[in-house]
Amino acid sequence: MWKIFELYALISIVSWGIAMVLLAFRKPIVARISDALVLLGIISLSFFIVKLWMFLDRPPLRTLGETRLWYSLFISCIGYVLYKRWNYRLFLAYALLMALVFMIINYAKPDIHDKALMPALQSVWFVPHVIVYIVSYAFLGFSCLLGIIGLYQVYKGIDSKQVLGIAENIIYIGFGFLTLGLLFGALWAKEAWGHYWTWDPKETWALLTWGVYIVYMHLSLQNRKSPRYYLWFITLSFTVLLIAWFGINYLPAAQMSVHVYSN
Amino acid sequence: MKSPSRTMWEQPWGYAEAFAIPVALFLGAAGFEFVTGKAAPTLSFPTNVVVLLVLINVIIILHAASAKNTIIRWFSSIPASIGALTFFLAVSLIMALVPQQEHPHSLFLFYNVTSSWLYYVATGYLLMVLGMVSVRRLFPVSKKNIGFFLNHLGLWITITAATFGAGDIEKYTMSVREGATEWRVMNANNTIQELDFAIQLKDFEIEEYPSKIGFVDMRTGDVLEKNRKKAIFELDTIHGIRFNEYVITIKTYYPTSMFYVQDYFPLSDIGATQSYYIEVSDTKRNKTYSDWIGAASMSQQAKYLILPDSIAIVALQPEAKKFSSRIRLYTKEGSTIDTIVEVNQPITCNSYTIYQTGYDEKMGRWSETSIFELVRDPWLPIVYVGIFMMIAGALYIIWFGRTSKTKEQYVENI
Repeated sequence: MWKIFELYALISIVSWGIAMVLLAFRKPIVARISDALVLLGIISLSFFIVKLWMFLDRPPLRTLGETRLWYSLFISCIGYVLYKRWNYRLFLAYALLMALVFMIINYAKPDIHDKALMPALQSVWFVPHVIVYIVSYAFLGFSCLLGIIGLYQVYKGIDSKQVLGIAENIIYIGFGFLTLGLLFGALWAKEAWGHYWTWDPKETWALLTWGVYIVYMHLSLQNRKSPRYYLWFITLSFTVLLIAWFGINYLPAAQMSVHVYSN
Repeated sequence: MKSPSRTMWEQPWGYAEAFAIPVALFLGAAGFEFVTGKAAPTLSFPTNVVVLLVLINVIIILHAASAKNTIIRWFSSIPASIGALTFFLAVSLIMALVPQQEHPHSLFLFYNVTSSWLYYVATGYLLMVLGMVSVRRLFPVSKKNIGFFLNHLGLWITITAATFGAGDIEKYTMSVREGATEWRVMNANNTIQELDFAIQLKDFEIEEYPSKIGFVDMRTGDVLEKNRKKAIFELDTIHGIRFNEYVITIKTYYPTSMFYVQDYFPLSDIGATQSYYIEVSDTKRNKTYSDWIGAASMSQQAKYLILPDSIAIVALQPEAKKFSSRIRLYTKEGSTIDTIVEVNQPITCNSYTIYQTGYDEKMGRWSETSIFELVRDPWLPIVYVGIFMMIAGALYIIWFGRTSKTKEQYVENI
């Protein structure tokens, strides 16, 4: 079955690759072509997943190769939908790049298609949980980048209100996905461990990250201080996210965590 | 809004008060713990329901009073919300930094935060403020408020049900031998209780991953490392395994086999183990070695291949890929249900959720015992209501983002 993957994967990889390049141009006709290519890539991959599902007679969710197909599919879909809604071309380009990376890994390393996931990861929640976090971290990382650009503008004496405005909207979107990640994790934990919240160090840090962004969203509603203050907050909030992401591997409290991915 | 000449506690209150109140609550909770030296009691039915009703009443009364009293009204303001949330996050931060212990003798607010007074006070204060905020924007009911309503009330419901329901969660373990029927379970204090249904274990099955292959230093017994990566490799029949000057080629792999005299034979009797016939070429010395290696099992010793420099190539204890129990449930009403319990695929019977958690690890894949965890959480449906409200709220935020409306609405409502 994975033999015909090459054909479908090639269609997706080529069309997404061209679409990414076309995103750099602003002409309406070019935009329409790139839209069509993104959709073509999504349709081609969906076709393959449906065929694989029918062939295996079970949802293709059990091996690393299979989960990567879903990553590519959902990330490109989310990228496209949010692009249509918010017109963030950079985000679509990023989403397509991530989707491409997962496709290319599957394409180039066919021998790991059949590597089974460990029992605790074999769940319908695994893929959505990971995808919403990938999207969320991308948005929040992007907001941090805008925070740094804004701070540069502030210290150069340039008006940074517009950058701050975009960064704030992006935080809202990233926060939405962060919430989904946290809640999907809770629903999954109930299925896998018997409880939806166990104060596992990774969970605790994820909660802290979530909380810091809530604090920001409320602070910014009052809009009392100068942009500099908010830009610093945005930039520094991301460090909490980084601790939750991989910093916890080095924390003493996290040695018992089920989420620590090192040996 | 804020006048520079205002001193603390002088109205209108702002951020100074928003943080002073949590600090006072922190000191109060810590002081109370030092005086009593005890953890906070766990609230279970019916006390938790009573306390919850009191909390809801307090929120409603405060909401009613807030129309006339600016200080009470302040508790549903943004500064108060940020103060309450920061307090809760600060308490979570303790948990995030200090390794938590099951039963510490003292200093619960550090070593077992969730059983400390501090945790209850921080949660209680957050719920009070969040509750007041939610109620304040609940009326008049309008479409504009839907995102706000889903996120705030959803969070309030989730935290409330999770906190007040924690004491009502029943958790038991049950271990059943193949063929046996069991209705007794054990709680965390090793007390045995009887259920109103029984589980008969028809069959317990384990699928294993192929044994990993490792390089071990015979003198110390440690796995060798290269660039801080352990020299442990997964079965790779196509490319072979490379480590330093050694290249391993796998000639034969038996998922189940027994060692006899000097060879492994493919057999699947009790105690059979995984084995490999490997060829190791030493590219530095231009030598080739070949022999069987096999993982240890309940009846078989491990077999290594020994290289010069006291290095051994070993087959590691295989890891479980999937384990599942085929069971029959008998209820008191006389019905029987045949089903399968797997990791990530629990089943529900008479309000208990049954999870596959373990097996007899000494016996490995030959285990004849399956271990289940049974959980009953009567507050779970309420928690789920909150969680699904928040999921809807998150989708709302993703779609609408921070539109200019968000700001207008806030200004309208202040």
